[in-house]
Amino acid sequence: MERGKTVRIADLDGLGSFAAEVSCRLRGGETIGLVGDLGAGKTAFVQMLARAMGITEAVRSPTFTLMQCYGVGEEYSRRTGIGELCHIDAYRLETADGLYAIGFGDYAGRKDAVTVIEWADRVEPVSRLGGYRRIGFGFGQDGSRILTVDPGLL
Amino acid sequence: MRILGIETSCDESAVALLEVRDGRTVGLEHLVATQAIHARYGGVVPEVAAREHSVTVPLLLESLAERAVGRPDGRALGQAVDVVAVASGPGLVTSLKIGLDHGRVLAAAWDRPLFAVNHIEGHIHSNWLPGAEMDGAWDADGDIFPALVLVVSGGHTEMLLMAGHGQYRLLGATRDDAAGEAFDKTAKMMGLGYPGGPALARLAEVGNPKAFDFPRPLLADPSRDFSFSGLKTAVRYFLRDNASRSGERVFLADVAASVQAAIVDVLVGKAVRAAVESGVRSVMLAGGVAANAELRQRLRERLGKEAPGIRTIEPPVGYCTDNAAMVAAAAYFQAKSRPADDWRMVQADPHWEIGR
Repeated sequence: MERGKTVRIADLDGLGSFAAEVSCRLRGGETIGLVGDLGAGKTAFVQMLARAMGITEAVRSPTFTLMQCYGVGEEYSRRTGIGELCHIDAYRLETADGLYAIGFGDYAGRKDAVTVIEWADRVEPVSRLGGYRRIGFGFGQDGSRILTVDPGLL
Repeated sequence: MRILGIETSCDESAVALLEVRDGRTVGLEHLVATQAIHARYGGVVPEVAAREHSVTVPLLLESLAERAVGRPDGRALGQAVDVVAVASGPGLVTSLKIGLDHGRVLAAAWDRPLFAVNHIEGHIHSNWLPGAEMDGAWDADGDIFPALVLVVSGGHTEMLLMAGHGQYRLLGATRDDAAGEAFDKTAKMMGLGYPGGPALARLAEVGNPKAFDFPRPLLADPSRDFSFSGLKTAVRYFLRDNASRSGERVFLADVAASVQAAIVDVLVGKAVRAAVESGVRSVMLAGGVAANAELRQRLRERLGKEAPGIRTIEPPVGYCTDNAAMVAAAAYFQAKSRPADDWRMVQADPHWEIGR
């Protein structure tokens, strides 16, 4: 069942503003689960969240190594105490055990890190972690996206 | 030089014994075990992959010894090896470690130099293996450099300027999805399974590449970067708007051919432009998508027309996907130019990038 606030995103600029807002709410220790179909904008959201967190490296779909971590910008880190953004793509994973095998346990819940998991519904047990927040990505008419956002992120 | 190669970056375990003498391959035994177990899951399960590697690598080494020295004798195999080479990144960290630990222990036990090789650098060196134009010119390949290398696979899409062996500069890379990922994910949306890149390419053979006009992301952009996630989304909308035709085989073949044409257009267009601008002497393909026949043909055509002085170099089709012969090939050049790695210190690096 969908829960939380519903946000309509018209285009990539809108997605950027949304990501910037989310970046302001983060306090460290969050695991953000992204759920939605191929092409719904999950990776684009992570790219924009990374930019809002002051990450200058290029953020790509981590399908091959499954996990990629980035150091956040100095200014953002000073303000929030968050040091790293950890980006996971669970598309090729079948079980939550697989998450731990790639080192998810090193980051999950850590106060100085935020973890974002694409295809979080494929590794459902993560939703029971403390600090778990979900963003659902759906398609609107006219090419827009309808996001369903857990409380605490908006 | 006789080189033992070990490759365990993802879900394929492979070992190879490559012998290069007088600038050509004089012997190559290659064994690979694809982990069929993951097909049941529709993806890779890292801890299962690592466990499988630790079971299959010793068995592969045993078979390699039988082929190379006529009996399953580890000590005899060691006497037939001058150098040990292992892919130590990028890849799944748990999988990489299994291969690296086998390599380091063999190197220590046999007292042979160990070379930890970058997996992508391995793919590039598949261009020297038997069946490739460069086999025979291992020690006299200076005339192809500088080369523009287009690395295209399920996890990578990048262009490297290669001044020589071990000398790389990254010119550009994908900003989001890899080209192979675009093939695989489009195939998935079309109901061809995952990863369905090769199935999509087969279906495209009977389709019309001009049937539908899909976007060519960043093709006109002067940067050397790629982007394939917008194409994926465009295909998604197209399939939704034409859902009533999703059962027609001709329609699906036309979509496959048109999607492949879009991806190949971008890869070839950007590579040819970068090659001309960088003043290279050759363009080299590497990675799993380098096996794609359309990509090969179109690259040859475009270079022949626009820059006939630039050579096209293609890896043998059988060595495009992950293999251990390519790891041994890369180590051949490293053993000639740098000191060996310390078997006690060397570590797996799941995010190792060359040329940055």
